[in-house]
Amino acid sequence: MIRMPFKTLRLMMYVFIGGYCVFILTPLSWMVFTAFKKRSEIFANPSGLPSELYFGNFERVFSSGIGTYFLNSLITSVFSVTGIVAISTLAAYALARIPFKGRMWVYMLIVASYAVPLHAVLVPMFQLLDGFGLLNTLAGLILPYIAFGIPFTVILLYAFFLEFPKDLEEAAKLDGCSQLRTVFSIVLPLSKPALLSAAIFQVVFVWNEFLIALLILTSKGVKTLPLGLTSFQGQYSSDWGAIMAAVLLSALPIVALYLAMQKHFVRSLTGMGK
Amino acid sequence: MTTLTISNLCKSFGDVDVLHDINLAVQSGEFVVLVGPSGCGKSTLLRLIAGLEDIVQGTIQIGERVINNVEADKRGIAMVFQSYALYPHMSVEQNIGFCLRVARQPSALIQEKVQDVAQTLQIKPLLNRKPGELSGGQRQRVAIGRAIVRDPDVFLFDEPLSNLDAELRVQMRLELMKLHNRLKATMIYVTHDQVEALTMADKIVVMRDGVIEQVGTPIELFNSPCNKFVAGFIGTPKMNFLHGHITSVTEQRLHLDLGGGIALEIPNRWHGLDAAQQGKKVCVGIRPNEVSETKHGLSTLQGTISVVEQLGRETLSHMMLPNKQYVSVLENGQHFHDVGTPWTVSLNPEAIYLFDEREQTIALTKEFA
Ligand SMILES: Nc1ncnc2c1ncn2[C@@H]1O[C@H](COP(=O)(O)OP(=O)(O)OP(=O)(O)O)[C@@H](O)[C@H]1O
Ligand SMILES: [Mg+2]
Repeated sequence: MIRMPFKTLRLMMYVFIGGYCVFILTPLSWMVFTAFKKRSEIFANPSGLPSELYFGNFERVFSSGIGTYFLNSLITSVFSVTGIVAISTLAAYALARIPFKGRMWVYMLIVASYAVPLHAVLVPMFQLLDGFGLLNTLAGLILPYIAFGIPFTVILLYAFFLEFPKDLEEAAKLDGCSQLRTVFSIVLPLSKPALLSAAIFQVVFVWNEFLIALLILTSKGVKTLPLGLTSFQGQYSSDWGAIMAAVLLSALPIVALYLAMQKHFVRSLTGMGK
Repeated sequence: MTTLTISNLCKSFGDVDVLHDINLAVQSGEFVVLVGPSGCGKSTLLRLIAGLEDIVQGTIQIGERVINNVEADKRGIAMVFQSYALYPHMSVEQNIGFCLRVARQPSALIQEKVQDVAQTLQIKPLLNRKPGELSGGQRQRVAIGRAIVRDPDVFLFDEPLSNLDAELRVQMRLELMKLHNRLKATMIYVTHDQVEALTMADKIVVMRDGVIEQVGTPIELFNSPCNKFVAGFIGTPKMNFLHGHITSVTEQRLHLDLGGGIALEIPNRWHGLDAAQQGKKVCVGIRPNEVSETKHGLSTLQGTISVVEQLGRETLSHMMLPNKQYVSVLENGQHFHDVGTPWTVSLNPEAIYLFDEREQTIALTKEFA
């Protein structure tokens, strides 16, 4: 191996990262700029900064009912993620700590179900939800989201609970805690980073999910943001300002969450939430 | 009055037998120290008593009550873990009071008890801190506080001082002994540390491979170990062992061949050692402080000095015999022996132990015992 001088290596890394940032940020900044431009300016000056901050695009977006989409997305996310984390936590803890017959098989099954592609089960899932009369309801969206979120979250939390110091749980047992009390008083408060990162993963997935939503939700009142955005595209086919404003608004909560939780998110990727 | 009685206790994990037929009675208020090599089952025994492992075979009683199937928190036992196992997300106050809160005691009472314990252990200023903000010694105190607050019949300690530095260990050792005197509680204490075992114990239990080898006061174990293992385990520096066989026996004298042409002549003080024992394999045990340069005429050994350790108050020299066995010699004061020079030492005949081929101690005749 040829040893490169340290400086050269660093320079190359900066060039690479710089190039990558330009690649990622160009469309994003184009989106942000366009959202604040008047229609005439969008075409006259497509790539530059807006000459003045124009909020007309946002006004049009708000008046066309993006609020409903927002609300639907919010409800879906909150219920889905709460469900995923609650169920996965208990499942992962049981798998990691309670010995029972076939425990490894259950775990393997969960791991295997993580590998099942969404597209393979779309049709049966649709029929199932239809049978339960859940099409066009948020519940019909939340349940599949929970089902799809559980395997990955269980795997993540299982690894975390396996490494959880046993001493603490034993001390709690001596202090008179039942197993459930131990989980709630000792294990969960100390698992916050892992739980948070699991939750963030799922929020991002659920908030942006498009395919299942497209399949389940057809009436306007129940649509979530990603679906709403596509209908905008149809509605305002040439109103790029409004479209960009809507996209910007829908991305904003996730970006904010990302920035607020950045530490946990990165940690969860690098070290299973530790 | 007996507090804790362990009868015929066995424990295995899968195919691995960890404890075999343990029998032990601990008196009320006694300080019992469990010692033994790593992996001999000390922690397992403690965890069985605490209720952290299931008892499948044998019984454990506290007073008259069999506690095999009693929940861990109802046994009247408190345990201090080697890692302290303090709850990192709770303050010291919450840590100590946790078991009372779980038991739904009124908060005024909890407050009072926690203050009491904090007073006893002098950790009042620390009550609002989290365990992460404490030093090792302070954490140790909190862990002990968490045990005291439950007012248990029996305290269990699993190597509680092993994470502390030497100085703090000595200090905490003294405090634990004071605490024991004040609480008059029964304590069972696991340690690797010789000094801890000898200084703290009313009674030492020596374990090996899941079996209790000997139980006795520190002095009993030191003076009359029942076998070679206990003799080697109790006392520092370790007892010297010289392997050989008996060449001739008379009423007065015992002649041994240690191999490599070394003959050793010692006064015969042992019960049942007569001419019939000729040719038997034996092992001679002698503590390093009972070997010296002064001539007893009898029981002398010659070799070369190979290592000299200056301990300040004492000097520990290791001499190699021609048969490649080593003898350690502990002398008072500072001696500057030259490594590599020949040396003659003699064994104090009164302090010689003899072990048979099964490594059991051979008993002394009445007049010497
Ligand atoms: N949960 C378990 N499963 C299987 N084997 C175990 C388990 N716990 C302990 N053992 C085995 O039991 C034996 C005794 O372990 P134990 O922890 O009691 O030893 P110890 O005397 O406390 O050792 P140390 O002084 O190193 O702490 C060891 O061989 C250990 O491997
Ligand atoms: Mg141990």
